[in-house]
Amino acid sequence: MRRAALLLATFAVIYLCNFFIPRLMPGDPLQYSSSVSGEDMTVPYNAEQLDQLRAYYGLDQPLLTQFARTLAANLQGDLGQSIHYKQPVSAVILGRLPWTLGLMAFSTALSLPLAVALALVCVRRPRMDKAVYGAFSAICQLPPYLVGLALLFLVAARVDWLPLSGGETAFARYTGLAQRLGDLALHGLLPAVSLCVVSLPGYFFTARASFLSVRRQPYLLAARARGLKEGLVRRRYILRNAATPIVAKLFLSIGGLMGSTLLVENVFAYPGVGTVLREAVRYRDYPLIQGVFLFSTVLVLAGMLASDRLCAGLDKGVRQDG
Amino acid sequence: MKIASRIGAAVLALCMTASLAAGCSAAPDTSAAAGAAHPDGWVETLRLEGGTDWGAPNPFQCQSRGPGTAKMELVYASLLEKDETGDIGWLAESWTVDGKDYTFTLRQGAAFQDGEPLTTDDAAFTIDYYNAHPPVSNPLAAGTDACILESYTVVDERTITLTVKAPDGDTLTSLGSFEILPRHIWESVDDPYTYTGEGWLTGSGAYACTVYDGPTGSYEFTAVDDFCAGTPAAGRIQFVPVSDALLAFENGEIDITSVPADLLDTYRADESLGFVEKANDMGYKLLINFEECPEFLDIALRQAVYAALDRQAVVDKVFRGAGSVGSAGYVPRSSLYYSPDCVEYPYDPDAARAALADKGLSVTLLAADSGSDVAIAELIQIDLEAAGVEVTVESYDSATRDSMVNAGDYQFALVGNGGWGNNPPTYLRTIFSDISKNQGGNPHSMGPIGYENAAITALAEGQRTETDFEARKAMFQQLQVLISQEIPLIVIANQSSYSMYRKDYYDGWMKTYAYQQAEQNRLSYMLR
Amino acid sequence: MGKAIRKGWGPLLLLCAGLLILTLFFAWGALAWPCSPTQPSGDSLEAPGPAHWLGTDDLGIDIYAQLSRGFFSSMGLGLACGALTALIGGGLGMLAGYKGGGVQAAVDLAVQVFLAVPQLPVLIVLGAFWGQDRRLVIGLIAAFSWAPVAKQTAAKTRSAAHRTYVQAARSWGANSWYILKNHLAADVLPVVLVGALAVVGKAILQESALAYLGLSDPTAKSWGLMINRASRFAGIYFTDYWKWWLAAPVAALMLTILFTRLLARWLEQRLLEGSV
Repeated sequence: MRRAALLLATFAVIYLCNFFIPRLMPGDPLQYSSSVSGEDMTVPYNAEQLDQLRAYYGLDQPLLTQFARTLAANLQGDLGQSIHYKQPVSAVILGRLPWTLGLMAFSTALSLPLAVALALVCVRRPRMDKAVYGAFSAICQLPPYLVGLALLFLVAARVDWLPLSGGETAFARYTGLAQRLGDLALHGLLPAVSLCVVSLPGYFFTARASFLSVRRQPYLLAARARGLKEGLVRRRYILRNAATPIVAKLFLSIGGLMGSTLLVENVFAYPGVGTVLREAVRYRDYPLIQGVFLFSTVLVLAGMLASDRLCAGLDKGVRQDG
Repeated sequence: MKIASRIGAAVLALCMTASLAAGCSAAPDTSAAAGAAHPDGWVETLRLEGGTDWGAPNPFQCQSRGPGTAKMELVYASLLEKDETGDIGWLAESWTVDGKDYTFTLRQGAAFQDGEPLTTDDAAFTIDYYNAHPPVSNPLAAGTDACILESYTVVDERTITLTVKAPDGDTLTSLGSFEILPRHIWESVDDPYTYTGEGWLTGSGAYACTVYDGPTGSYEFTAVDDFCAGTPAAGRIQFVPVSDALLAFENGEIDITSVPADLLDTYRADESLGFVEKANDMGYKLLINFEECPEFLDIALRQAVYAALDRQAVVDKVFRGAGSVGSAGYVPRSSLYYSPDCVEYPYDPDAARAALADKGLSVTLLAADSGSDVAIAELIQIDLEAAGVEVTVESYDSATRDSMVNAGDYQFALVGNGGWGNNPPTYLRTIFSDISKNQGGNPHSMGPIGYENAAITALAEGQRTETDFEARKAMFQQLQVLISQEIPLIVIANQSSYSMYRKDYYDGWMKTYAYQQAEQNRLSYMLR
Repeated sequence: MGKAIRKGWGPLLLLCAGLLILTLFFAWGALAWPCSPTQPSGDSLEAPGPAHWLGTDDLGIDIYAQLSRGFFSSMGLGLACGALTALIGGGLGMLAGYKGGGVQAAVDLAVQVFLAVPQLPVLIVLGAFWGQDRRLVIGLIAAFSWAPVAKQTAAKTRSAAHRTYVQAARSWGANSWYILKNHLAADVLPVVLVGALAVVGKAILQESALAYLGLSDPTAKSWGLMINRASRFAGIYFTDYWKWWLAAPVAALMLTILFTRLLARWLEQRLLEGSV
């Protein structure tokens, strides 16, 4: 209960900052006038048009009124209208969300099993353990965008079959679902691998620690003493009992993974939330900045809550088992 | 583990289906053109660099920048269009001017993309609708006090008379540039800024939008059969998301791309390539806030600033040679309106030091944080410090820089923007006239603060009422000479950019008299 | 035990030597190298040669000189962030762990907020507004780094404060400062130190990530900015330029991170876990 209250308070604080900070900063969503050749403002607004637009987006109101309105709208599930994209914020985010979530899922699907498998092998082979452990502690802080850039230059630019960027082949006419999935996977491969390289060590450390602690449990000794086969022991006892912390870690790392994803998207021009956030900040699109934040905060908090529940469940489970 | 894998699988499945759904706004098959004989110069598909969401291509939801409005203009049509030298008929086949009355006659067979005929009734409806809901690109200034229209009269189905408040040199162009909406769709729409229902992308242009996918920034436009004002030059126009445009061009994934200055010579050697030069289109100016730095109201100091700056170095180092030292009269040297009589201020560090060194001046220079802006600001800093003026460079992201410049919150400010190669009437007045400058959010209206000049203002405002082209041009040239003598602001340099394309594939790229971005001009996509 | 320690010192020596070599290499570039890190000293995009060990960038500015300037600016930033983190995280953590009650609840909430905020998006937003001021960047990065340190410190302090000798000292009327200084510091300081050291590397990275997105002080020649400009140079795939212009800052960044990371790791094992 205390935990839930804490999460709620956290959410409230973040929500407040999220509303006020962008609005108190210099810059104006309707007066973004910088341009480069070829992207000029072809249509200047006169002062009266600016006022009309301001009124349309409710930016002419005092901050507190704006806040009250935004809060009321958000409570009804309305995230407002994006000023830059001229679409509802929810539409903009929902359009990009599948890409970002898909990329996160894809990279997790690569890194989590790999990390668990490696850890499972390593806890039984000390020499390999040392090597892998050392290597992973070295790379675990590499920034994903650097890994992405390195892959881009060293791999993608040298081979023909790997696309340099984007989420799919534009205007492709697919013959079937498999071909389409293949195309998506091919485009997502390098971004996912960059994310995977970065998140692999974290999962590995957790899995390794978890296996080590489970291995010391007396019930394993008992199981082995009963003459159960080693493979069965590993599957039934070690994996099952060690799983909870690993899954908890998965939920906890959602925040970090999302940050990395936003960066990697920028490297590979991947059509996700990351590119939208970049644009939203550049054009001071308040509703959109807020929307992206609201979404990522909810995701992170949900991950934390889930991991909390899992850990609580684990304690109970251990007690019952014992 | 079980829970984990189940959750994982669910998430994965969800994402996969969702991303499938997102990408599946596939186009209807529009290979109708196949088999038919095509005139010379026609191509099946023209592919351009995409990847950025420039908004839905309709008058209310496109973005207010070149690539956004250009896509909308492919789908929608206006009364007039611009070619290399002047305005030509587009939906209107002819027009007459009588005092304040401009009478347009629509072409036979003008129609919307859903087959409904386009009549003057639609044009009249559009004007009323724009007055209630101003569009993004608003040449009529509809819905504001500045609206140039007084009234309209529908004469018959093909003839409409537009009466303006005060005709001036730009009136015809403005009247000819608003996009006509289909009445049968929009009359029941209350909020066009959010409307995405039936017919939201139905226009009257030469191309219909068949794919718009915001997240990936891909657009596809398909040629309309029987377009009344000409023949589309391509069956399809696609904006394809690419990572490295040059690589994509080499691989034949796109048909036109911009060339970095460093590689220009390499590509020039290739006979099969054609080039579009966007001469001096990007320009950098140094604004002085005279309220903060009243010392510089002394013209000798401003002349000394010019003398202190090695502006050729900006062209050579930052623009990699692609560009020219700015004319002190503001209008770039390659413009039709350029006056060769403008005063030139050569680089003369000794003279600058003599004038500036003993003044003990120190200024902060506001700049944006993009690469070129910072590099130029650093070069200015080096030069001014050599002349004895202490300079601190402060750089902020563009939005912050813009609002600081608009608010007058600077001493010196470096402002760079595109569009210098456009028609000078669109920008000279809003920068230099004391009445019109610093109104509204556009870099073309950021003028000097704390500086007034009655002669410049009189010329800048006066040229508007002159409807004779040569006489107006003469006024603009006079204005430039005056600007170059009085120096309300310092012009640094202009940068040119280049696009290249394969001549043997498609050779229809054109620049209008007012706009050099070939990729954004309607006529670039028409057979001519 | 003695042997284990002696054996354990090997990596430390190696790491310190590596860091020292890096520092000397870049110190030479910053102090003794004739080329300026801000002024052009050659043609643009010259390949590495005797005049320019690592070539020049598009403006003709020597890359080795820029890298050297960047090293000290990055290191300075990292260390400043580390110090600030130690101060805030350590201070608040000890306070919360020792005092308990309301203070602890308040610190818990703050920790929770900063852990839950999606870091990178926030940094992107705030970086756009404040990125050009280096001190603010340091403050921002520290603001997002102190929470884990505070959490660990608080836990450690709490467990240490419950030991009998601390309880005894308290019952004898020793004041808080005395107890913190004499009884808790030895237990708690290693936690703070290790946490802060880990922040150093992380801060360098975060700054480079911000600079890569173009959200950091553009006049400082930071590594992230060099990477940003090189990777955005149109047509760089077609040229050999990336071999020195892009590869050099990437390699420098990776090496520096690697060394600080391994050093932090080593200290963590040595100070907190006792042995490897």
